Amino acid sequence: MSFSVSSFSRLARRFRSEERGAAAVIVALSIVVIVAFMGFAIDIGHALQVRRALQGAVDAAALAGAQEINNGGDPVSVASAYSALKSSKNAFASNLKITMAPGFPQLKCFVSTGAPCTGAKGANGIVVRQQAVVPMYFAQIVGLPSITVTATATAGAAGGKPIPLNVMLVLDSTQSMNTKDSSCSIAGATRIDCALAGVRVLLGELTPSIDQVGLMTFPPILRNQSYDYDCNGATKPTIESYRSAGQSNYQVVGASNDYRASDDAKSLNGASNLVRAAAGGGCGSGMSAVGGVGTYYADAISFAQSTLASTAKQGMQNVIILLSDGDANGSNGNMPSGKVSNQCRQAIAAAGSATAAGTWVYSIAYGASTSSTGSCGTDNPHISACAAMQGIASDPAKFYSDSMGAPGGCPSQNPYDELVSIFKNVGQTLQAPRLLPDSTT
Amino acid sequence: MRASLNGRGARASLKALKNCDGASAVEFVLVLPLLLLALFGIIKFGIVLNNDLELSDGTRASARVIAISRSSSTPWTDAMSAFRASTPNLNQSTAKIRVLVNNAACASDADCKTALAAAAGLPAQISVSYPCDLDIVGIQLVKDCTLQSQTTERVE
Repeated sequence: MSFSVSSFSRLARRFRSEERGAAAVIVALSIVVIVAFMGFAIDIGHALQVRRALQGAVDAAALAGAQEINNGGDPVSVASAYSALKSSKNAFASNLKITMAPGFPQLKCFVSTGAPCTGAKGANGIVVRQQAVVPMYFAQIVGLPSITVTATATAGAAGGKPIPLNVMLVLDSTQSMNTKDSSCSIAGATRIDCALAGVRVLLGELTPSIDQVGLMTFPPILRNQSYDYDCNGATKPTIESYRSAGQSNYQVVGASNDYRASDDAKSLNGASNLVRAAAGGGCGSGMSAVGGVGTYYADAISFAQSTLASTAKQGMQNVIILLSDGDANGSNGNMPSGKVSNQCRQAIAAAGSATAAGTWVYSIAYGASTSSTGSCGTDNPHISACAAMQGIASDPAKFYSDSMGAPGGCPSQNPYDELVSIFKNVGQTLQAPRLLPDSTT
Repeated sequence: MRASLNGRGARASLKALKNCDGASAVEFVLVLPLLLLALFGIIKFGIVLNNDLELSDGTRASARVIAISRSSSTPWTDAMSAFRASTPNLNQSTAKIRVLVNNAACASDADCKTALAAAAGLPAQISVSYPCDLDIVGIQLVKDCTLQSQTTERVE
């Protein structure tokens, strides 16, 4: 202790009497180095800060683009609109030169995520990479005018925090649904069997804690008949004509979320009326296709929309999933007055107003005819059942077609030709986007 | 006599000038303010850059929360707590946070909830301004220094 004090006081004494006076020179030299380092610290700090802000922008851009993959629009332009590019939504206030890396935003099909690759581009993910040229204020003195920082974000279209859904399934149960579908993944299944199997797969993809699902059918049935999910009765339903049918005649099961016991439950809840109607209750064969009054589904779509509007809870996304062969042909005596002609166009208009109200309308054409003279017979000018089903979907990505193996069938940009896998795909496109590691393949 | 006195005085002052005792200390005192200025500058800039990074991070986190809060009944509260969680070193009370859902400002759970319910697929923006202090030993380098950060996300 005493030693260090005495050595310090000796140093201080030497400093006080030091005569060489080189401090100014040393400081003058070292100040150049100090200022240079300070300059580098500020430049690099600034560049890092720009990179962080750029990363936030590309994350937002990738998520916005991934969301658009399921919406069927142009994910690339949506991603650009949310990027840091000039006059985009996350543009920088400062005057930095920001560019999209060449070839980005890039649509990708990430096989490892298990999500389906949908839409015209066959994608389930998007990668956004942007670059900013950050000017160097101090380092330019030593010949480094700027450095380029890069930020990359990868987003998948499915697997994020789900949006609460209010789903209404509208299934065709006309007589044609009793014919066999040899292309169905269930051997020997009739069309209605295959459709119900698809519904069960769809229910497995949804989240019961937040998603509610109802079931409607056409032709309408007499009220208060629980035949479709009643385990006791084998009675077939009495069909109501389209003429005087109301909402309750179309609805089989109202909005319910008891189809699985919990979000983690793998199997469906056999006690749920919805599951029983889809032949998953272990008793009975579920909804049966009786028919006899022709096909007409414009009112079914309108009632589905008004039911969804009244049952939707805060923040819910309304979804209509229509399955039909699309060939509307209700005969005069079975139709509401004034609705006899242009039955297919009525359906397109009903779906159009549902879409305008924000509902996502999925349309599954099941063996829809592409002949404009042999289907949609009440429509003038002629329109094919296939075109009607295409027109019903909110956007091309929400249109599916199962031609049951027929060559030259109704074309859809979604590459599925089997009904159960179509329902699985629909369920997956209803999931939310999420960010992925950039190394995802 | 005057001359001799003068001569003696000049010699004395010349001698005093020639005496180099303590030159180092004097020079050190002269350059010390410069060094201190640099030192405090580095510290202040470091703090401001750190604040700015945290601000960007907090803005981004709260924008993400708003984007996924369409079904939440407390979107505003959730966004604010996400911001606070990401910015532990900021003085929260001086941060001015603005939430814009589809270009309309909302500042309460009820307002944001109503705005978000109709905003699926539309932009939601968080912009935050935070005062920064670049006052170095009494010299204000930047007048009314404010840090700004904003992120726009698409409501899911």
